[in-house]
Amino acid sequence: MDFSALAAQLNAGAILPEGIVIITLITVLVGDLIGGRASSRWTPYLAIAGLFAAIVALVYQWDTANPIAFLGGFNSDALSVVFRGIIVLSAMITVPMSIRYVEQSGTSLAEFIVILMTATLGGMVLSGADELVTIFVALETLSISSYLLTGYMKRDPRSNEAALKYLLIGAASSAIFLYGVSLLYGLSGGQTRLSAIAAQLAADSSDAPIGLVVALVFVIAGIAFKIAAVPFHQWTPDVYEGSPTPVVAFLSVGSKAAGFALAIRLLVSVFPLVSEQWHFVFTALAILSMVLGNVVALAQTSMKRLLAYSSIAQAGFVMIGLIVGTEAGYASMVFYLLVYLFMNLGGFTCVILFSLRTGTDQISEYSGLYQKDPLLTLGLSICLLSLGGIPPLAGFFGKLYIFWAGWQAGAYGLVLVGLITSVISIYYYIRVIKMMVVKEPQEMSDSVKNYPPMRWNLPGMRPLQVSLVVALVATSLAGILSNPLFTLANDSITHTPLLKAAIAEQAAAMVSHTETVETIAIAPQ
Amino acid sequence: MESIEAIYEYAWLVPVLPLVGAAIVGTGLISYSQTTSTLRRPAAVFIVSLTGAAMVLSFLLFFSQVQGHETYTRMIEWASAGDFRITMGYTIDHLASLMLVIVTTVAFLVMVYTDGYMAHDPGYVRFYSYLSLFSSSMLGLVISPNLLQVYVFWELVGMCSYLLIGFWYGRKPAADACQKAFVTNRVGDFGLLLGMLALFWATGSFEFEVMGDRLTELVTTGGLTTGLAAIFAILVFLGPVAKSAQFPLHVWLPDAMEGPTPISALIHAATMVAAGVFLVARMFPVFEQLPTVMTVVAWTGAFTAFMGASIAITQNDIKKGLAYSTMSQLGYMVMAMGVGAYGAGLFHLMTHAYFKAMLFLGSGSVIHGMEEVVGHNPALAQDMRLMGGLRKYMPITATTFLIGTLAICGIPPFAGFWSKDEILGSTFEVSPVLWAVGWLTAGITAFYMFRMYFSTFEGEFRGTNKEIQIQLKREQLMAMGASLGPGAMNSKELTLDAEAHDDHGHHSEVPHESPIAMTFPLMALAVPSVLIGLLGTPFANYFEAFIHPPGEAVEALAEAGGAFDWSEFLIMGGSSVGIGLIGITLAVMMYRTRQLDPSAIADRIKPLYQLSKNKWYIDEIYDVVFVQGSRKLAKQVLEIDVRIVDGLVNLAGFVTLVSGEGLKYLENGRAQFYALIVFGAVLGLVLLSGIT
Amino acid sequence: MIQLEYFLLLAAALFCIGIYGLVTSRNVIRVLMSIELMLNAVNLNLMAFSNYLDPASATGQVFTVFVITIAAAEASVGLAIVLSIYRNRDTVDMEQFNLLKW
Repeated sequence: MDFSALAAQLNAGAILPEGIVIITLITVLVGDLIGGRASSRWTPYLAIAGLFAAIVALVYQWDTANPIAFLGGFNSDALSVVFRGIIVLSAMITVPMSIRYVEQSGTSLAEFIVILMTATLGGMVLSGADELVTIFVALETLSISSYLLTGYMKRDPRSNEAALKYLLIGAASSAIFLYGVSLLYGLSGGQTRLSAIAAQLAADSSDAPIGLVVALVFVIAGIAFKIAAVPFHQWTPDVYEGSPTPVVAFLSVGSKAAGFALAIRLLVSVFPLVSEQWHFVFTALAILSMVLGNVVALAQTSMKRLLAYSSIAQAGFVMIGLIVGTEAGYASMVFYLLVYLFMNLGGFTCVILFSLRTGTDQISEYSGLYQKDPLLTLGLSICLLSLGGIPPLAGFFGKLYIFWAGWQAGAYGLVLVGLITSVISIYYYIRVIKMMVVKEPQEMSDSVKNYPPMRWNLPGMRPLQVSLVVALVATSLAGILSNPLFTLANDSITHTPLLKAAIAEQAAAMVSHTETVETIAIAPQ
Repeated sequence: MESIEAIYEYAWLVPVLPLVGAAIVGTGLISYSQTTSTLRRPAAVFIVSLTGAAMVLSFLLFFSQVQGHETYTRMIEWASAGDFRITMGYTIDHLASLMLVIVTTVAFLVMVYTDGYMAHDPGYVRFYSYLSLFSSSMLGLVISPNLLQVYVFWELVGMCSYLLIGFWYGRKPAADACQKAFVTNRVGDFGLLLGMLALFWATGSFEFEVMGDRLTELVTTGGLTTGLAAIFAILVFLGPVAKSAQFPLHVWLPDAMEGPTPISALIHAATMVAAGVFLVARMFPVFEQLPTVMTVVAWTGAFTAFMGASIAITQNDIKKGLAYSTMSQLGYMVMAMGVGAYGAGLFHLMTHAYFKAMLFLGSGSVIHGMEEVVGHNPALAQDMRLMGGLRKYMPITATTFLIGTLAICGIPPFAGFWSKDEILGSTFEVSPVLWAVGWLTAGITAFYMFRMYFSTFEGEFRGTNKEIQIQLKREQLMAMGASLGPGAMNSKELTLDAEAHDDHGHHSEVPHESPIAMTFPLMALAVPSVLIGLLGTPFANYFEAFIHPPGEAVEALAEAGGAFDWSEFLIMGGSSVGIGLIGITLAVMMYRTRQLDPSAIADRIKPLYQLSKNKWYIDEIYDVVFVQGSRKLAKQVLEIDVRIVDGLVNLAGFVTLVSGEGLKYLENGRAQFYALIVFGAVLGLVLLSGIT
Repeated sequence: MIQLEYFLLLAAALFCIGIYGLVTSRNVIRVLMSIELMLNAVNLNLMAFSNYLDPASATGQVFTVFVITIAAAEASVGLAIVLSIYRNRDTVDMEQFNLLKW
């Protein structure tokens, strides 16, 4: 059998980035087997190099002529490229963060990296999956790796408990998602490719059968679990609090981005018949997320839990872009996720630094940090301010774009809720900054008083510093110099044929809606 | 000629050169204040030469304009957003070039004078930098091509005035005076801003002629009611009302005399206060189309002229007397603009600038001399009751002061006669009542000016008279709130007598003439005070030919002016000279020959005397109504803000926090509860989606 | 012929039993078993659809094989986590796992 001919037929070149990740993963695994303990000096850097190579491969995939691969199972259009890029980038920044953390806890670094890269792989395939089986397998790869990562600190009962909760809720959501998928399979008369399902559904009837609505809700349950939307969010604070912090960083960005990629692809291709319904459901989800995420974050005392609720709220903001369904809406989603990547990872790097030095996670322990560690204070302040949406940082521009897209499309209520809750969010971000910066020397917490001096030459501290600085720079500048990111986000939407059709339909629907409103208004006369 | 064109291209240097001087000296003061404060002479020379250069450039521009060069405008786009564009630049036309010459010459001479006057003052260098900054702002104002840019420089000029009035900021009266000037001018500037924006909203432009044309169009086509257009124009007029010390926003000008005399001469006599009249001249295309507005302007000017003169007759402080005189003369200028005598008003602006500056500088010279005798106490050094007979000791000052007095009284052939007469002539044609007010005021002017001259320079020198000194000090303390007299428990009362016998604080028994740095400008200014009037004589009116309202063709003016009537001239001129002579005679009788007793007359008309002495009680009225009133209002509003507004905001925050604390208990840590919520939500959503 | 609906009904019933077990079990192992039950219910669904709607290409059956595999992987990971939690906490009572809350 001619392997290369088969590969060409299947268009295997589309998964070159994933292939690179697999090769890196295997190299790290084998290298650690052979090298033993000493391998932890080079395995992380190999992983970073491999991930970087994957990004380069992704760049080459940007405008391929035929994105469909594996007989319609994988689609590497511009949308998938950008989301895969986000996931790889988040892994690439998570690896340096985790070196010191994992070393200090005494567990094996190589295994951590392997599982992390497996999760990355799962997320990447999920972003491009165009067929039900692929979607499910990729989703499960991502999820199961995440459960393992969450429970990585075997000796820590909190990590165990977090992993258990994550697994139970995750498995339940997967089961529900799978049930919905099976209904889709049935409704479409045996098709598993998304485009074929859509075609079959459209051909069968123009009216939405109840089965489709049920399938829709079940599928949304699975997606909402991944993106931590209220009321499917209950696992997020517990898991974020209990997991090792680098894992939380990856989950909050990479896993969420994969969830959003799945949401866009699945909902837009398969469910145009019930688009009103899923818009309605997501509106409810978005409002609940924004409100609950921000309001409950006010009452938190643990930094990681605070960031968990904040990420729930941020997901709410991103959902606004999904709901409006215009080109600006999708582009603003992508832009926001790009920006969110840097500010969230930067924030988590600072949290890691602090917990490595003091071993605690309580916000009140951050008092007076400014005197002892200005770099960390600066980094955390900038990332938190960016999360809150303060200009001229990147978060402001992200939020601005989303709200503008929402306003332009007429989703006034959503944007208003978003604005109000943004204001609420600024309170808890600034509370942390206030703790760090404003407190007098005599009000320093005990942890800060006993703050150990900086020793940057310990293994793994330099990479931490590097990732902190990278995230800081990106957060500060990505707003002002946002043009390249902006064009990237826009192009990813315009170059995706899947979305073009959806946007056109949405625009037509909005026009006809206004027309009907006008006719209704004129008619009574 | 290309060289002439080059001058126009560099015309922007005229305001920039003094600005550079101010910037360099100012930066030096901020950064290396010790060094700069000792470099007094070099700083003065530097700034004076920059102003001199600006003056030369102004003269060149003026001559070019006189020879008929057309109006030169240069604009750059400053800000634009779509249809909306703001342009800045400069324009040199006849009026601008004339104003440039006036401002630079007076500024130059005042700067030379300052070297003598402020020689012993520690703030010498700071004063020069402020002077330079002011000159630059004023020069920028007069070459501004549109109302927006005028407003910018208007505010700058106001700020410089504030800095200079409060120059000796350690003295409470000075600090109060500069605040009063600022706040009063703010009221006027606010009106100007509102009017400016309203006119922009109506006409879409800040250019003067365009505004005028479009406004007329709107009024005739009915797009804008005449009343509304008049309101807009009057709002704009509020700016000149404040800046040129017209009633009711005149209250700052007498208090502004707390500043050093050079700036009283420069700012509050010759240039800044004239900026108001200048703006009215620039806004002429808008105003002249609205008869209501012209009436308001004319009557404001007339009333101010009368009021200023009526207060000046009882003032004892030489500078305050001159201040009220300035107010009165500004009233004349405004009245002239109001009746449409554009050229006459601006002519009087020019003549007044020169002779009033000279009068103020002369008063400064007098004060300088008096300080040698009675010490650096303004209550003593500036009071005319302590002066007298200074002509023997300060002849140059006395002669120039006399020239200025004759000029202001309107005695031919001095400058003031020609300009004032033209104003009165034009006013008579429009309204005899207005003319009567102006005519009476001319007589009062002559009276109080000669009263000043005689009290200061003639008679016996009273500076060493201890009784008068004690009485003046007592008045000063009473004004500051102490209670004196039998039974008063004020310790100052005891020291008054002691001080009177004390010799410290003065160096000599008689005053001396001022140094050449001070007398040279006096003499230099005497020349235009005498001669410049001849530029605008009715029989050969070069001034009118040069300065005319925009839109009026020169030929039409020449026709109108050509019909010169000797009899009309003699009647008008004669009547104004006549009433002037009556005033002078009264002054002679009361203050020179002592045939009439001033205090007896004052007792006979006691209420009127008190009204005049207390400046018509306007300061007191303003204090009660505005100062106390706004404080009470502010207190009430504060109550509302603290109770209601703050309360609402705090309530919102409290509610959010409480709901956060409450909702967090939804996460009770039990995984099966979470799973239950998930399934419940799915069920709920299915039902909801299925039903809708 | 047994109709398709009966299979679907059975699958739905099993799914609901799985939900009930997930929510009410006190023993962690029981919860894991309930999850397996839910996944198997979905398998039933897929097989039924495959058999009745598209017997020629056995896509649903292939899908079922995938699901069984993944369910096994998930169960093994779940059991590993249960084991480590048992080592630390000495209990498998769901009510005891309450450290992370509020």
